[in-house]
Amino acid sequence: MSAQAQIADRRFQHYLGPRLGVAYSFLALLLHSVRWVVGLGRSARYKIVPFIVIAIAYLPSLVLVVIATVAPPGTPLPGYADYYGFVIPSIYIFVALTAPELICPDRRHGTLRMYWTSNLGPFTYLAAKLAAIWVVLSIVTVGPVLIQLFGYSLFGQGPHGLTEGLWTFVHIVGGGLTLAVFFGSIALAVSSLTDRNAFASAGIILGFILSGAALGILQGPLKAPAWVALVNVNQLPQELVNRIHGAHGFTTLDLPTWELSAAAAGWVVAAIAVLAYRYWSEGRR
Amino acid sequence: MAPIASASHVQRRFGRVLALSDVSFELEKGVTGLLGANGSGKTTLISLLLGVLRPHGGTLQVLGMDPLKAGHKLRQRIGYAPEDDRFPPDVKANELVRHFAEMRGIPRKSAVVRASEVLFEVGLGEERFRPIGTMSTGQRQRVKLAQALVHDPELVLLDEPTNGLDPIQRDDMLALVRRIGTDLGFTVMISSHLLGEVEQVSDNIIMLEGGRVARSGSVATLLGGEAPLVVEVVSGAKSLAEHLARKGFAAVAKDDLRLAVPPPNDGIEDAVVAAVVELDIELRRMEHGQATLGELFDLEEASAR
Repeated sequence: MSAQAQIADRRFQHYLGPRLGVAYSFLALLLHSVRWVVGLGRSARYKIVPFIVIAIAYLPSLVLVVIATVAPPGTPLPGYADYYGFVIPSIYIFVALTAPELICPDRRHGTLRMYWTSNLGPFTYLAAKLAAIWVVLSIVTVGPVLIQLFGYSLFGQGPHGLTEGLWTFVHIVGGGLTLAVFFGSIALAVSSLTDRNAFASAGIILGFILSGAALGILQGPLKAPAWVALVNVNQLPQELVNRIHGAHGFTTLDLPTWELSAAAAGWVVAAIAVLAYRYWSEGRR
Repeated sequence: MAPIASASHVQRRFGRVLALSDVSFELEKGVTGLLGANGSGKTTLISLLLGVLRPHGGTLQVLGMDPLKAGHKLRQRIGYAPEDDRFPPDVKANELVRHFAEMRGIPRKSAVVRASEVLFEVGLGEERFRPIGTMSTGQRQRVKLAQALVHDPELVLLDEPTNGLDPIQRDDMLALVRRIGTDLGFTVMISSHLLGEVEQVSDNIIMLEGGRVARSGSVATLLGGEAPLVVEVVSGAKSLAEHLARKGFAAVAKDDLRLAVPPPNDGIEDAVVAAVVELDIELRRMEHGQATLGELFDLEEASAR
């Protein structure tokens, strides 16, 4: 036998390394959740749909950049807020796919209880999931418009000067995050009402469509006052993004910006309250 | 030495239902069986030990801490495997175990290594890259056990780990639990509604009945003492037991082939011989043998009647 021969001890070793706290587990769950919903580290069938929807959301920005390359300087091109008019259906589809996938499997597979007995409790788990849906939605609400900005800037159709460029950048990020937080929070709240992805997805899509239909009935035959438009979860956040970019879009939402902001904040707070109640109840089981 | 966990007059209710009415015990190192029928409060007690539920009365201490106040600092030191084993089917075993190591504060690099090590330890070394949905119930139970051990806890709580297993898988799982408690040195609490299982793996038992601790102590002590007389007949054990009962012996027949008579049973052998002659019953075997915990508990109940 060689003198260098060693016995490789494969027996279970007790762990002597560091044990990190809540912040680490929060970030680990956030990262895991983002990867999970876009299908990273999963089989191909979980990647196909998210990547198709993301591609659809980015396609108009690429088309606009191509138009910017051929359009003479000074030609009016669609603005940054206008972008959402092209892609809002794909944002709805994306949020209806991703929000249920973030929380329904844990409820359906009984893994919630294992999270409750880790570094995370119901509310830290929930906070990580909310942050995850906001990050994931930002892929389609912030990313394409930033491409539009860089494309316009590259071909002389963008903002003039560094200050204007930075302000435009801030408006784009702010507007995109507004949409991500608004749609993400509501979609996650709807998803928390069931443990079935399909029911949650249907509920989210129907909710966005029905709020528009309800507004039509309320403001049409029923002649409801103007503030009723604030129940329209479809137009409200888009109009808010218009205001962030200094424009007015929907005539049905011709209300002061502070009212729109308060209504949007109210929707988000209500959604988080629903989520908090649902997970507080789960934690007490 | 301080106990790993202790409960003193713990109560917990759900609405009007009193799940635990007055539970007191001390949990020592080794493997402890938490025994009780379905609905006896086993899962509730485990949830209280984890700090997931708040007791409505009494006090609890786990690893020297109050489970409600200690939060994640305590939960990092406890491993827990729930009764449910419906994991996401497309997740690979090593990924799930690694993820829950991270959730318990183990840094990613260490979590990856430990996930593999612990899956080897529970017998899933070759299967660790398989999606959980393609695994058998027994393998899923082992994955569940692995995620409870991956962060090297000081206390492991296993809620009905043999649920849904066939007899061979069940014996394998029980042997694994026993090895975790002895060779690997973990303190384990295993809940079950089957006395035989608990007896097979445990050093100590805590038996819940109607929300209270009906019995607790070391298995060796409970099994110790004077052995009962075990009588086997070709048939007619029940009528023989009735006959012996009339003579003043607390005989218990589990079926028509076998009965046991608890100590003190002086003169029982003569009484049995006289009885089988009188009743014309064919005697097969009669000896002072080691009873199971179940038989002892049956005998105790019969004596109490």
